[in-house]
Amino acid sequence: MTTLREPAPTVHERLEHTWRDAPGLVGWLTTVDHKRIGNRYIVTAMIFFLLSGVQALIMRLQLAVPDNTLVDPQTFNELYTMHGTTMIFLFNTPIVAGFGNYILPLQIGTRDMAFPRLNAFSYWVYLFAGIFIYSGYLVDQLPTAGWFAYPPFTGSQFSPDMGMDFWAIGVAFLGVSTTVGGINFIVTTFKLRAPGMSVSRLPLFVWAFLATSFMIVFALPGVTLAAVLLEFDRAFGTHFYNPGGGGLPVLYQHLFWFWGHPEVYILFVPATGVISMIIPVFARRPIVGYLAVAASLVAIAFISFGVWVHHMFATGVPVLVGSFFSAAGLLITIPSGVQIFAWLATLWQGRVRWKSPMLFSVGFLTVFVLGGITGVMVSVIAFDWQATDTYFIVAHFHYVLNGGVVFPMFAALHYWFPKFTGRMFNEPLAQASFWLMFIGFNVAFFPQHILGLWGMPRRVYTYQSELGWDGMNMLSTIGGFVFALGVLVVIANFAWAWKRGAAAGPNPWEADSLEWATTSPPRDYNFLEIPVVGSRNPLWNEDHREGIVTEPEHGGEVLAPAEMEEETLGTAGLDARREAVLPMPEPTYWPIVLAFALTVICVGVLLTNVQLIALGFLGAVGAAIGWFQPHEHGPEPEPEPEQEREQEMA
Amino acid sequence: MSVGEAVAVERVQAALPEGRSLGWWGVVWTITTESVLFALLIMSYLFIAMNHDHWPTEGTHPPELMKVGARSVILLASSIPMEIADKGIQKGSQARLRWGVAGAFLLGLAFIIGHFIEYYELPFHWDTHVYGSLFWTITSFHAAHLIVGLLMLAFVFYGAQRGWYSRRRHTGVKVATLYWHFVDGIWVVVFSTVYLFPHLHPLLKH
Repeated sequence: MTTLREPAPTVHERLEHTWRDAPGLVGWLTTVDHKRIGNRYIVTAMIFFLLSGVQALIMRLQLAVPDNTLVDPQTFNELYTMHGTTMIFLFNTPIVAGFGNYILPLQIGTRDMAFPRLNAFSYWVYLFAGIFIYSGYLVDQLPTAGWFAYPPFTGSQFSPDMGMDFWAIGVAFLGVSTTVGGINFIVTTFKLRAPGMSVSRLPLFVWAFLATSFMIVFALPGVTLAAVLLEFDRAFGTHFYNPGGGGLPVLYQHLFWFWGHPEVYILFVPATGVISMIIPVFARRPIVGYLAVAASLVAIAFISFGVWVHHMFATGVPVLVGSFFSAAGLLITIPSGVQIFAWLATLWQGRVRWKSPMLFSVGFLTVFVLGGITGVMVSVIAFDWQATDTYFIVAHFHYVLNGGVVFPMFAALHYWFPKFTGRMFNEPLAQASFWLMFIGFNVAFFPQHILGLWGMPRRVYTYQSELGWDGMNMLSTIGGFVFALGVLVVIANFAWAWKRGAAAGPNPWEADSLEWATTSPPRDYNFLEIPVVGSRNPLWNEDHREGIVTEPEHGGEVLAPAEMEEETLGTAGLDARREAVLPMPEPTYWPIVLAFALTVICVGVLLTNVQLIALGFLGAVGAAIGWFQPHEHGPEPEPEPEQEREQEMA
Repeated sequence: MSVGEAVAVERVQAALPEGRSLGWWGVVWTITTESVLFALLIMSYLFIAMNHDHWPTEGTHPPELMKVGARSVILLASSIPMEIADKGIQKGSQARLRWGVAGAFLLGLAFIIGHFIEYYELPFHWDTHVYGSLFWTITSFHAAHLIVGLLMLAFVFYGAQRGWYSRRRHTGVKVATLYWHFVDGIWVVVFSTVYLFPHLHPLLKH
């Protein structure tokens, strides 16, 4: 090192200059910053959440009174199909990915995801696929077969217009985004953890994303294939699901639920990761049973693949097969239960602060436990035969998904909003919005259990007054609107706080994980120094009750080279030892170009237009070539010392 | 030393990049998820086939094995020059890289040309019956992967000519090599299912 001491701000300035995006539209289109991409995911997913909410409210209005004529049956079918599709594919999965994108690299103390350009690509694919699925509204041709789109009804014979094509192509296309996102999370967690962040110090949020990403890699091809084969049947006249040509409609159900049940956990496991971060912070003590919780996440990832047939008990599967899947369905409640008891024990032993993220977390616990109990009920075959396709199932999966994913996501929004924006929202208003959402949710969906047991089938657009379902349906509709009011209050609160909220500071919740060690919002390069991690709760003192440490241990790498190259630190092994300095890519147009070229292919398939498909393919190849072109001013390879060569030969 | 006063810091630079590169990890997980896709295709094939008393469906003969057997040997052989290329550049040999990649590319090209000739001669199409749908879809999924592999090899060859790769930097070659081995390896499974299984079906069914 030279004796010349550089002035203090230099490292900061150099990092600033290195990691900055271009201003304006260029920067917006070319950014590969995981924080900007994460923000985009969250905002886009929230827009789809609102669209889906409007669809749900229209359905509730239609069902509020018997013999209603607000919407016709066709429109009603479109509404529940688009509502389900939007919630599963365009809200739940992406918003989870958004939090993962923003928080996970910060939490493991690195500067970006392992593949930042792939990360940008997966956002653009998500956006374009979402627009693709919704563009059915432009030509008024929408899917009507429910979000799982069973053939033969979805074949071209019974669904002749393009609605199903928008759905099948869009869902298959969206799978690309989810898959590369999952791979990105896995490699990021394997290779970019800060030195010292061994597997036993990994935040549970990161464990959850790891388990989820494994499930994505192994399960997602199921839905992709189910949708692709469906589209082949529709567009090219293949016979996969067509009994007339020797095909089997039930094949679709196997492929779909091979993904579909792990998908429930793909959504739910990251949500538990959020809860496992929030509860210890607001209970002011480390989580009870860290190892048991981490092991449960891994166990869920495995068992979730043995559960898919339980969606198909009513299709006449053999008894032995049914019994196996029924047993697996009961077994998976054990690791879920372990987590719930770990959270309860943490609350029990802690000194709880009842702030809004905590309220949403406890709201999740109560709602999800109810959904879990009805889940055990429907995994019993005899009961499932009675309850399937009634409102009991509708109530069950709304308790699981709205309770298990939406409440944790709102907990996460409140928990990390100060980190995202650097500002605090109005806490009393946030608590009011929680109570509106919590009460509204239960008023909306609890009566649906009863309606289901009374025999009200799902997906009916109306009912007769003599059946005696009037009161419960009206109650459910009122609950739906109270819930919606709660959501509007959240949005108003955030909009106000974004502009006028008090400054939050780096760590307003006195939390323990590394994302709180940097500024709010974090600078482009996240950390001035790559932190060195010495414990499971890096920002808490050993006696965590006494307060917090504002900075993690020093001695980390600064990685601000004079050449202004983006760099971060690669680590290896279970104990995350330093391995290499990894160059990081610069902002680039290629991800959006590639995503657009693939969209052109999808439009080509939709219109069965070979020229468009060929054009999209050429565009994709061109974009890939541009993408993988090594950039010119990289450091020249150094001359190779002789002894290394000998080592390699040996 | 507080963070604000951090001074110019020397970079930690290993003599050779240690461990597996990010690209290696990325392609391994890509291969994993693609393998699941193929596994599900194969399971779909067997699921439908075992639900038929006659397979292929009546009026269609089981596929002829001689030509496709020869093509299979060509494809599997293409992994050898690819491996030579990969090992070569790890020792700094540009020549082995170029010749190896070129060899693998040409063998792969020979395979895919034979593949399209076979398509042209087939007596049934994807919309003839479900056997045709499965045959065409599975083999064309594989062909699509192979074409992507060929494009990767062409790209690596171009890069090798421009001198992009060296003993220190050869992630691109590694990625292409792993992917190419995957495309070859998965063919064994596709071949066993699509070409051999129809000959075994009568034994399993009766």
